[in-house]
Amino acid sequence: MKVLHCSDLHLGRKVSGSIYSPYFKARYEDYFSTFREIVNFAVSKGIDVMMISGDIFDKKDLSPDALEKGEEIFKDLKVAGIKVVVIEGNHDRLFDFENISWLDYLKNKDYIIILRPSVKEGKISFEPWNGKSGGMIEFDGVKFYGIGYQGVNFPEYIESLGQILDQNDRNIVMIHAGICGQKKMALPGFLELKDFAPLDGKCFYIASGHAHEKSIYKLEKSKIFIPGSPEYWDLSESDEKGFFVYDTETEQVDFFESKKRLKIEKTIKLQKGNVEEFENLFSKMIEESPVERECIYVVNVGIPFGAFLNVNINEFEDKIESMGALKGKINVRQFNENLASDDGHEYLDLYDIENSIVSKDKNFGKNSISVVEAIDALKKAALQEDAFKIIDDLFYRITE
Amino acid sequence: MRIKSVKLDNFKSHKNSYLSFSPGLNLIIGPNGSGKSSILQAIGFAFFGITNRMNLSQFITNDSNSDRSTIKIEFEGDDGVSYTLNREISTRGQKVSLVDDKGIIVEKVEKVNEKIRQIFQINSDNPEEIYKNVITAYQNDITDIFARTPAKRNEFFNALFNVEIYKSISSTHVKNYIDKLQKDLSELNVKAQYLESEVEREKALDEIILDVKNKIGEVQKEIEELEKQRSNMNDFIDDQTKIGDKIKTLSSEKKMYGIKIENLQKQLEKLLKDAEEARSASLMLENYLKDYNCYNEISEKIKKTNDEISKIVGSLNEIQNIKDRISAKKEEREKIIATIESDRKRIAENQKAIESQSQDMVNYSKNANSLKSDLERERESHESIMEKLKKIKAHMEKKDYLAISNFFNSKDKETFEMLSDKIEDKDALRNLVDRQNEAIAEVNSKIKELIKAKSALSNGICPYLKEKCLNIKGDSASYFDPLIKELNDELTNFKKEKSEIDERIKKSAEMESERSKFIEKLIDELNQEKMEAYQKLTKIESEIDFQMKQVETIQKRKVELALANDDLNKDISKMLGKIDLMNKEIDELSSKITKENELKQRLNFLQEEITKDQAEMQKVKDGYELYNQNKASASKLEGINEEIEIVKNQKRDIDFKIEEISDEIEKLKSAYREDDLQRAKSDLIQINEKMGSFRQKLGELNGSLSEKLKIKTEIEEKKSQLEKIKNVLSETSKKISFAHDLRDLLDDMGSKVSSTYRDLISSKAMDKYNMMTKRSDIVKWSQDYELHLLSYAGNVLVDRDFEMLSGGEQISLALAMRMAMASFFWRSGFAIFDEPTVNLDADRRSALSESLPELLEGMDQVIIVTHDDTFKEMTEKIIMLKNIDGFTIVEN
Repeated sequence: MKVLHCSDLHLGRKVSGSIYSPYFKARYEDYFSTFREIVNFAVSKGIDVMMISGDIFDKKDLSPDALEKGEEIFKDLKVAGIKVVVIEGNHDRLFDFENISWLDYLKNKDYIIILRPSVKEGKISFEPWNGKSGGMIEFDGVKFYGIGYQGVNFPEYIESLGQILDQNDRNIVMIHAGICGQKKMALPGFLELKDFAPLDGKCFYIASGHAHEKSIYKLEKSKIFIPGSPEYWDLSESDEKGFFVYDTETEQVDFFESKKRLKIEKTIKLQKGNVEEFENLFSKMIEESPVERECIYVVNVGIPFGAFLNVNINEFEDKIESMGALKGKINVRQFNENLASDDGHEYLDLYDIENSIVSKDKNFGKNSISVVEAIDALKKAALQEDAFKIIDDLFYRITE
Repeated sequence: MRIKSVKLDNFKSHKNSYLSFSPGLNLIIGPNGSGKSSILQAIGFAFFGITNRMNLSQFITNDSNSDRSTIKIEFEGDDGVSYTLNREISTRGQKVSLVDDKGIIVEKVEKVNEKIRQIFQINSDNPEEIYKNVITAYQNDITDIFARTPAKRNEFFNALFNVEIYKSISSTHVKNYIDKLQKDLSELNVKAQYLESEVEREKALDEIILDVKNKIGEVQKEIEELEKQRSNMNDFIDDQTKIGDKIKTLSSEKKMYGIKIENLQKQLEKLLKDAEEARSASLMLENYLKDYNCYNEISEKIKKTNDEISKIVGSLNEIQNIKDRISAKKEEREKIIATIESDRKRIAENQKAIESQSQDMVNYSKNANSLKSDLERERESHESIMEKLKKIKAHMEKKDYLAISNFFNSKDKETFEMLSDKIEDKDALRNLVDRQNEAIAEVNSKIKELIKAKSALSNGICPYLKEKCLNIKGDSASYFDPLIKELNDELTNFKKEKSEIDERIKKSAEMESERSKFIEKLIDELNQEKMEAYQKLTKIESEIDFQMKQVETIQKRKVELALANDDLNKDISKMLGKIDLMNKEIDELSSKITKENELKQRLNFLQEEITKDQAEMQKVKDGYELYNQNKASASKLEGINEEIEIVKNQKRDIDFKIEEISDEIEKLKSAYREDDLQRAKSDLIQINEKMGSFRQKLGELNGSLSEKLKIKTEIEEKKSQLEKIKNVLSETSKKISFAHDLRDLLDDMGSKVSSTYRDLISSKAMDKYNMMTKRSDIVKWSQDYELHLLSYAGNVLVDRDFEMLSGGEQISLALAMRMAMASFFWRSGFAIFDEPTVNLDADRRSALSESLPELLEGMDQVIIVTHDDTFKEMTEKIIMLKNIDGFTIVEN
């Protein structure tokens, strides 16, 4: 059986700006056409099941046009006999006070199967799909389990599912949760790898979503696959995006890039921060990386701390668009050695700050991540033995 | 993040408060003491357990019957998930639970705290501090936190940014780590020195071991040589001993065979003698063969004759048997014939009986029929009496005595009619009495009235006019007494008439009773007649019954007799058939006994033959017996000869073996050397003694060697220990140096983190400040957390610290700083201001009011607690609080 896994389609997304601008209109269509391409691929390659790990629509309150366009595409999947299994993302999650979501509408028309765990008296269960509802469905001996978006309560759902799964079964778990990896983030919907331990070894494929960049994480036995949103949800995104095809017979997984809009992103770092310097560097940049037709052209400008760049940014954005770009976008940021990383990204939290300080240290610079993690652990260590072990571990990791 | 509602029960002044909040700005307004701050306290406590050093029981409403207070907050996270947070405080402690909109419940305090930190997106190790100082602001804290003395600012922001933690880690965990390693290092050095001296002491060990090994080699060579000699000698001794033993074995074997030969010789002689005897018996057989055969022939013939005789005897016995059976059959046949005769007689008797019974039956039937007509007559008479009784009863009910009189005979009828005439109508008499009684009552009442009037008038009052009588003038007696007398006379007459009527009634009743008796008598007579008629009737009925039963019995008897005759006829025909069968059997048996005489003749002939043959046999009997006597011994001859041949062969074989053994013994004797054997044995003892002493020496040497080797192993062990310790020493030194580096890093880290925070926050605050004020000033936040605003005055950059700023500038900058901090530590657009306008001058107050919309733009929800109306115009929702009798009243 061939299973295609995509996620975070965000159909019907409306970017900020005037609704009459060509940029707004083109971007509105982009999300549908990217999804359309994935569906064409699925039909031509004989895919059996399509999994969508949440955020199918961008908003719960959908415009009729978005639903109509989306329904057209789902209709093709139904005609081709491809079963579509979905879970809810935070953008299309159904809340207790709402009776029906647009996903339910599609489900009632037999376009999709929505997997939802049920909660009774605080206890979580995954009932087999009964044609209308359920948390698990089986195709061809493969069991699909679904955990839609659950805010900060994902660990409770994973724990419950871990207790149910039989490692002798062929299981796939769909979950709308991102992974924050080693970096600790206080964001709901993002999990650490250790949170997945209850599922490890009990399913080969964990079909995740929520995060918008493609990534694969390896647990001890199982793997987590995040295909990323097929189209840029936000212009600051710059990573690989696409979908996976999982062959349940050979257990092979292949990644395919989605056909998203072309985005060119450049950085200009000003030393003096005056107009002349900016204009020079801007011209040079355009020369080296010319604007392509219908692309999105993003320029990140860094100016020295305390400097004031007296430039009409709109004028330059128009200039880029006049060269054929669908959208020119210039971001100006003051930069400070201590305030941003080399690629100009702002620090977001203490972890970033500590990491930047340690990475400049002559002794620990190369191992900044390990050191920052050890410092974090030492902050929480109550017992001397625990502290000694943390320092010892850090020593060995560094001298390895 | 935004709060949807807060519900407080028994929380301080809130006995039972429900507050619902909107997105955007919410104002909580109320006079002092109306419970505004309690709401903020409840929110802070519910989310982060902040108590502000208050005892939990102080939260519980004083004037309450319940010993617990509860806080319930419904809120929505940034991701749209709705949660309900419950906290319950009782005198025993507190409980907390967080429930999401799908019903998942989290109850453990640490788990709830972690989830709240995630929902609020707080990026800090101490979320409570962030909540207390960044999310909420109390009164003048908005500006005051930047206007304090350097020491106070350091204390506040270092705590907020948690920058002291690095030095603390360095001076505790890492320092202890280094101290421990230093201690380990010195202990290890002592160990290493000891091990080195040990190794040095046993330096010459290898040479000693080599010397011992050489000596062992020499001794081992000697032993090997002796070993070889001993082996040769042992071989020789073994060889000779084997030869001697073999000779002995062979000699005894030879002797054994000699004995066997003797036995065989004896056996042979006996066999030869037996052979001679057998041969003479053979000659006897030839002589008497003729007699023997003749005897056998006659004997055979007699046997056959006897067989025939016994057969004939058998046949004769059989014939006798048949004769018996025939006579038995004949006897039985006679008996059956007799039975038939008697049965026939019985049939005739039965037939006669049937005929006589038929006559009886006719008689009985006739009787029955004549009785039946009697019965009919009697029944009619009985019914007529019944009819009479019935009629009399009906007439009596109707009181028709004239009709009844017809049932009497003429004499009684006359008497009855006379009685009836004398009886008067009872009702008419009774009416007369009633009328008489009424008249008496009427006269009586008149008399009473007159007596009453008389008595009234005696007082002079007219009884009719009820006033003084004017006519009679009080003489009542003279007026009333004649009237009374007249009435009394009338009364006497009436009473007399009444007694006459009573007499008539009595007489009439007597007559009536007599008439009744008359009728009773009539009925009794009729009943008697009825009884008699009934008795007759039943008698005739039983007589008829008897006659009919007789007919029935006879009928039954007749049938029985006819049936018995049928059975007898059947038996007779069966018996006749049986007689036919018996006759045939008798004929058949008779035919079998015709040969009797012939058989008897043959028997006599055969008995004579036997007598002749027996005489013949007697003649050859002696020869026959001699032949038989020698037959057995002659037959043995051949066997004896065979046995003789076997014994002879055995004897030959043994002779050959004895010869072989003798030859071998001779050969062995020539190889056996007794003297050499004895000498070799004594040499061997000497060699063994020598070897013993060499072995002992070798043992001693090996013992010494293993001792030395053991020491060597120990030394090797110590060397490897030493090596390990040296490695650990080197690693420990590296660790110490690493830990020192780590301490350097950590010691410096706090100030670096602080500096980065300051740069980051001031940079963000600068953007916000300029956006709010539409200016392009530079914000710097220097060491000791001193805020500076750098503004261009023409081309000159003027640097002012926070104290030097105007009130409005201070508010704007402070708000910008707070927003910057919030966006950094706290992704959730939620803030609380507690009485922000208290102590603000007009300038500051208006600045705050103007800046607020800017601030609100990026926020989901802001809650301001205030007692004035500064922000009323821009508010989404106003919650008014009042204090009535010490309790809060909420007006949403």
